[in-house]
Amino acid sequence: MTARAGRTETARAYRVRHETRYHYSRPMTDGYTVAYLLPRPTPYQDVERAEVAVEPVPDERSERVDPFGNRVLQIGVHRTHDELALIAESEVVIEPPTVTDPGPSCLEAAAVARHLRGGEALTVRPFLGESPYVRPAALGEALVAFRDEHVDPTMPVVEAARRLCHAIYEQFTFDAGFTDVSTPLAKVLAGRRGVCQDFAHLAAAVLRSLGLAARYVSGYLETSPPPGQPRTLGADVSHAWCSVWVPGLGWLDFDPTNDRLPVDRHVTVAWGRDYGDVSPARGVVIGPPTRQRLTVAVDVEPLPLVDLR
Amino acid sequence: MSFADDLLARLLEDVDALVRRQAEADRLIASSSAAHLVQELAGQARNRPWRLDPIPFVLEADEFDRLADAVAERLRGFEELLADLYGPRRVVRDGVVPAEALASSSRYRLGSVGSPAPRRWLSTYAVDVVRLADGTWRIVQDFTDTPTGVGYALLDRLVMARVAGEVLGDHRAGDLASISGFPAEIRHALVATTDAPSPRVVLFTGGVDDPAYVEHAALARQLGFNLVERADLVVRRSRLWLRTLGGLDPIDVVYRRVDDGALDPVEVLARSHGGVPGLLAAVGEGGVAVANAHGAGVVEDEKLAGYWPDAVEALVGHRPPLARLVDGEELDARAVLHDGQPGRAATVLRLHAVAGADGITVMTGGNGRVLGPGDDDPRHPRAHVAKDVWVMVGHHRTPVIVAPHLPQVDLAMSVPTRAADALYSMGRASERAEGIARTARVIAGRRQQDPSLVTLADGRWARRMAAALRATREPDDHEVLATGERPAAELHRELAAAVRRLGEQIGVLVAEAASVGEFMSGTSSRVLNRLAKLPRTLAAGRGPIDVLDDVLEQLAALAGLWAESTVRGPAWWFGDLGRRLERGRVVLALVDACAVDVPAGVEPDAADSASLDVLLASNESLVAYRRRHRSDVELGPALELLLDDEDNPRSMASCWARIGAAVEALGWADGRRFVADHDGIRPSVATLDELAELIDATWFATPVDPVAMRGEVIG
Repeated sequence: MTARAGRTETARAYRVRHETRYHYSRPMTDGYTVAYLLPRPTPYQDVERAEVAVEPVPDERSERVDPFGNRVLQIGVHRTHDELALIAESEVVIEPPTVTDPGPSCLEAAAVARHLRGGEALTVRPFLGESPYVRPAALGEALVAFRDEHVDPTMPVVEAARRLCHAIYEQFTFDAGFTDVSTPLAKVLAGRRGVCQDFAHLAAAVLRSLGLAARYVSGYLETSPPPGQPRTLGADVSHAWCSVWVPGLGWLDFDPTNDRLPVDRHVTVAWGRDYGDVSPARGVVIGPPTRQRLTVAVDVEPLPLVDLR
Repeated sequence: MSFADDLLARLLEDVDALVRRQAEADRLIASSSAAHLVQELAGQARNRPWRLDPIPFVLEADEFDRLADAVAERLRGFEELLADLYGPRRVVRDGVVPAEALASSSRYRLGSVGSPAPRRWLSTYAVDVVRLADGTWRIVQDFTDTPTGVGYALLDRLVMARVAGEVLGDHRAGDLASISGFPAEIRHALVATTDAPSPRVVLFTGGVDDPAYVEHAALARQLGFNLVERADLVVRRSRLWLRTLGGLDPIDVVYRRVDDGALDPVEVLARSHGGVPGLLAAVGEGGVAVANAHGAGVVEDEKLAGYWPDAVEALVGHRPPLARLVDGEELDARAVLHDGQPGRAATVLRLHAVAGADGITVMTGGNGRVLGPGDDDPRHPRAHVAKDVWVMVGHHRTPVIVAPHLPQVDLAMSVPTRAADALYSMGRASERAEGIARTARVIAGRRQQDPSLVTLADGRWARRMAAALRATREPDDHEVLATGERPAAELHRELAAAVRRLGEQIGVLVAEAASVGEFMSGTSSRVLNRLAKLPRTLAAGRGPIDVLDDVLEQLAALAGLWAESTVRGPAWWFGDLGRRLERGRVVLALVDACAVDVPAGVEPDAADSASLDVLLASNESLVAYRRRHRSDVELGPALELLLDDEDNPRSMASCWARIGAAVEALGWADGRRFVADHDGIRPSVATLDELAELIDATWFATPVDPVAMRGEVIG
């Protein structure tokens, strides 16, 4: 185990292993996959190493950077295959920010955001509007009622985000059986239950309805085993949370599923307007009629750090 | 009085002539393609044939020139706009186009941002315009994704050209600007999207279910491109390939007539799983060009259209010419023929332009669509009445027709595998249909001539005839259910069932044929058209014998065109293979049904004789038998003629010989071996079925439909 260099005492280092396996009941002749599995550097995250092994060895493989700056892997398999495995491994060092400034009010922040020009118009403003999974207007009264119960536009942005984060954590039940990748947010809102991607979408919907820029962040969370027990390999999961843009401060990540603001044990992979922009793997296969099975194993392992101060 | 007014006045002097011309136009349009009939057969009348107003929309040269300049200028402006929206995004940085509005647009393709820029964003462009009562022109909407209408304009003109000389008079007929050179301009524009020398271009269509399929097929024929569907295309090694009988053929340019949301199922915003997986990645790698470029459709987004004038001005220094139509503006109403009476209505004009290496060319014509009563939205005229647009060039401008430069590619083996499959299925369906129709026709005719046949020999003839009908109707179902019916009733029921099945087979035949129109002669579509209407007549129950004769006549015409007017390439041989295979099955099935229990070597009794008579007549061999044997029909010679006589084109032996010729011509080793292994043995139905399975497994079994991979639920 290699020691990593951290800059402050709050720095943490992780090794992440994310294994995605597709199994087909009958062999496929072609497969085309786009994967968001390579962590991106951020102001709070250094990526020391990141690679994705693909089985079988793909016939085509290329990497590009999407308009949001995420690393995208594109692969093509054109031989008969009944399994496709994407094994992503990375080592990152994160230094969670400390938030002391509450930022301007939501009203002011919204006014600033919608008048941004230049580079910030391209990096912030796309997250103000509707996206396929996050349509605040379509949620109507239900969203407005939930929002108005917890936040008001005169609050400082950081305060509003903290209350929103807490409200979702308190009022919504984590229920893996309730949703799938295409569950509409309206159902999540009405049933007061969902999984982390739903909570991230909901937080983004509330913030965008206030005229704030909010993005969906995909990545991992370090989970600690119960005291006295060893870590179980592969028992972690992919995770998602929300990020809000605060004038003067930049993007502030918070995790409504775990009531964390700012996030502190979170490894960022990619961000987008919603799940659809950055789902870990998507694609199509061509072959005879088949049943497909998807298994995912994630392992987030803390690494020791060398203090360089 | 302007020339146009003068012309209108002259046209309206003879309303009877207008009505006559419209009727003629209806006929011509209906026979121009069988595609819309397929949809009618399937009960989806989305693509109903349109009608053509016999009064053209006339534009004098100077008015058209002003319009054409405006169209070209809009195209130029949108080209710059697209290059910016997917490139440096200056107008977004500067706040002219709000980033949030753009990002939320369902027509903006985020995935195209930052990809290597295509050589052109817009190769083709169309715009709907209307003239106001005061003579000024207004924009209704722009088309930048898959501009539609050139093919329809050409079809409309084909029809109207017949009347041009008649109404223009000899001295001005030559002033009507030709539009026949426009497809060549499209070809030039498409070729200009790639660096590849002699690029191979395909026209990518959504298939016969696409409302504009009629146009796609017509254009592909005119342009000399393969008309391809999703299943014909595959991406490998960052290039696009056409699946052909000879293997994978590289493609350089895709003239897409498929919405950009349905181009590639891997693309994040693509909701449907249609499209060609990996296509956009291949485009990004420069392996293939798509025209119009992926993302060009954003110009059409109504929610963003309000920002374009300022954005274009910011980029090119001036706003796009012509203002958009505003609610309440009064449209210019002109003469139309409505239900055989002259009336007045406004017309929406669709104008077309292409951008090629030598600049922009605007078509000297277009599609007019008449706004019917109650048509308050000029974007969606409901009347379905087209109006040809005539541009009078005068003598100051001679239209230049540029000779097309076709890439010198040998298309002999470049037959899309799907097309070969369709031709093969079409061959089989037409023989099936013919077998059912002729058998039913012969039996119904005999029964009519001699009603006592049905009770002859305790109904032996009638039972055999019912079995023969069943065998042609359900060749794969060998089980015979005892129904306990009287023979006469059984025969009656089987005749009705055969007629129903015939209707279905004709449907299959027309559907398969419609998707491969480019491999058949022009006359074929007229025949298919007539054929497509017959199932309805059959269903109506009008004297089945007459209708069956009509069906047989059309099937014979189709077979004749197939034999005499189609080039014998691989596609032809697949069609022929299907025909011979199915004809062989029909012969064997009928022999089985009609000759069962007929004793050999003795003179047949009346019932057996009548059965053999039907057997020969159903296989069009009765006359040959009589000329050869000059005696009553006997079992041995009849079977000899139907099974073993290679000189009889209806015999099993002759079919088998043609199958041998087909596998030889296709250079298909496994097929050759199969034929050799069965040589000298009289083929059975099982042999033919085995061959059919081998054909499917060898040529048509490759799965081509993409299925979405499941997504991981995050949380």
